Amino acid sequence: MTSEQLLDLLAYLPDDAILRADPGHFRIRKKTNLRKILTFGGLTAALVLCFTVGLTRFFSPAPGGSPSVQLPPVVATDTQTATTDTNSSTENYEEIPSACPPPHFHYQGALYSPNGSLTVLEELPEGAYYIGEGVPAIECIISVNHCYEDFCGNLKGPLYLSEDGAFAYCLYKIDENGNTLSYQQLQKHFE
Amino acid sequence: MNTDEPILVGLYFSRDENAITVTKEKYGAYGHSIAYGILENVHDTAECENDAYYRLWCSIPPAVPQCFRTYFGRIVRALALDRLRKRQARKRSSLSEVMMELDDLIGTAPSPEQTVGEAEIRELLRRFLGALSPQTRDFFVQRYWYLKDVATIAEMHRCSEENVRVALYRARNALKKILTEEGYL
Repeated sequence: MTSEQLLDLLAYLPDDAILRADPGHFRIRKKTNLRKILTFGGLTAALVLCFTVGLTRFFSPAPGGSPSVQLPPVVATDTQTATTDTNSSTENYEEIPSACPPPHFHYQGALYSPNGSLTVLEELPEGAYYIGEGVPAIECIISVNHCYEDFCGNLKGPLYLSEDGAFAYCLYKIDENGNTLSYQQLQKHFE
Repeated sequence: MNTDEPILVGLYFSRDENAITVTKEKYGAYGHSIAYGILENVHDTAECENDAYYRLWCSIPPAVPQCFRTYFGRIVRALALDRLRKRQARKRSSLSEVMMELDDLIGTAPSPEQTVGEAEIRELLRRFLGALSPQTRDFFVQRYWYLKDVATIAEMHRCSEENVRVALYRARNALKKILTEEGYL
């Protein structure tokens, strides 16, 4: 056998493994310069603070005396603006989506939580997002929870992942005869 | 299987040319990413994609893909590899790197494809993958099915290239062990 033959042989890798490893599911995250954002934000805030404190002390009245000069309001406005900007930068960073399902879950089969519990919902929870399709899950069922060993047929259909990555959902189950079952029917079946 | 896939396969069976259009819309990007990952050339990738659509048209029917996405992916991969082999002699490519990595598995035994059926090969590979950790399994598929380079895989999983290399090395050894045990090497 040559390495070329072996490479061709690997074309027979199982569908589910190919789908799970689809690089399209792994968003390569740009190395966002959080450090730069934080450093820049931090330095700006520190400078503004120093400036403000300095001005305040400079213009503050001597003990017992009356204030000779009032703090210009523009300084306070600048400070407030700068602080707000820093916060919004951080928020923007945190909003960068993490579409890549957590690796620890990604391979556990698409229909169950990592601890093996079954989740069947009538509709997608808010924040759930699409992760792939066509993953035959019967093996996951058998390997994750032996209670479902007697279940035959493949769970197929679009798969969705909850926002926190803890659960995935399948919209349909198609039984051996090609009939599509609803969530309620599925739940009843599993009960 | 996507619930739309039976409909799409039905279009092929009814010889409806919209099947190609729908395939392009739904799976074009997937096929492109596979082909480009192997060929690293826009022109070759486009030709490979077109060949794949033609191959699909010719193969369905009689074929009834259980999972259309991977069926299409396999066709694209095979065509891209063929195309790459034709130009491989000229220069060192990503394929030749993969070949070198697989060289340590090679023996003088006959090709498994010659001695066993497709079902047996699938079963063997399924058993092999089942023995790997989930992350290593993904490393392996991304490296030897999608032919992604190690740096890209490391970036996808947010780990070091060295981690990926070590995991792949162990996976290759595991595959070698299985192939040896089964008498293919």
